[in-house]
Amino acid sequence: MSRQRSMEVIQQSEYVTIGELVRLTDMRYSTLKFYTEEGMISFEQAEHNLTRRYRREESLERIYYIKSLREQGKTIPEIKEILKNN
Amino acid sequence: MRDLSITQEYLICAMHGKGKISGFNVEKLVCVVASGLLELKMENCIVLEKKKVRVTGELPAKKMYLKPLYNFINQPKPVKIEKIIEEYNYSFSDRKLRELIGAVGTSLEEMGLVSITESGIISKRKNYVPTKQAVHYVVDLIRSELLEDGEITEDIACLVALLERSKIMKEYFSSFEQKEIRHKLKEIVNSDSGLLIKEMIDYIENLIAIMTVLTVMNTN
Repeated sequence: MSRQRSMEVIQQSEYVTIGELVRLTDMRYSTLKFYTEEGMISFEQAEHNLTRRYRREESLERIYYIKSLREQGKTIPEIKEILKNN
Repeated sequence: MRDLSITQEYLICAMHGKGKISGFNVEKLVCVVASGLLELKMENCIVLEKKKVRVTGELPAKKMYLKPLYNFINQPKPVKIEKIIEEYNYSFSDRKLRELIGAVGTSLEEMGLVSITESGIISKRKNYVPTKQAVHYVVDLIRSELLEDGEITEDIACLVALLERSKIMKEYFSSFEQKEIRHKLKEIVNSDSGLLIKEMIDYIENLIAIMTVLTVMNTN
């Protein structure tokens, strides 16, 4: 077992966990989990312990983009369509 | 959100609502002290022995909210655990405990994670009411580690052990989630890498046992 990584370390990492995405974005875990399950945020899975790893920069960009679309009043199916066509 | 420590996260969960812990809730009050001691241990500032605690390193600048507790332990000789519990949880005045909660509460206020209210008619007392956002943040961190596959950090395992022992889990997690979390914690404790967490859980139990003995001795 290891200690929790500090924000300073997380902000420089290539890969982050879903918990670290919660810390970086201040978004709810359930929301990020839902986006993941719906294929709106992509991840890689480490084989040895099944940990889902997210590319930090790419994921943050995607999360903020989804957030901006939500603020424009778009529904989840609409957002999924937009992401698919991008 | 900035980095939060075990003690800060524990207080956010324990003080949710009125911003204070009832004097009757002994387990919660003991766990406040336990969270501080475990955090000092994880920062290599102290060594926890079965009956004594001794200082082994300086308090880092970022942990100044633990200074009241650190200063109390920082003596030429190791301090008996009984003495800590007596002073913090079983004294006539709760000055020491209020001092510790005040220091941690102030650190949270500086981050905008609690608001301060006052209670009491004759002697005014400060209450530290956690914001909804702070509570969601801590609860989500636990969910994101313990309800996911993969590695669990010592910090979250320790926090969950404190919440579980002080019966706070049910305030934030569904029965299904509690069952999952307990199962995960049990797995950790029984694994080779979970030795530290097992030691921490034993330590929390020990502190509560000492408090129980003190209570029984003084009521007989």
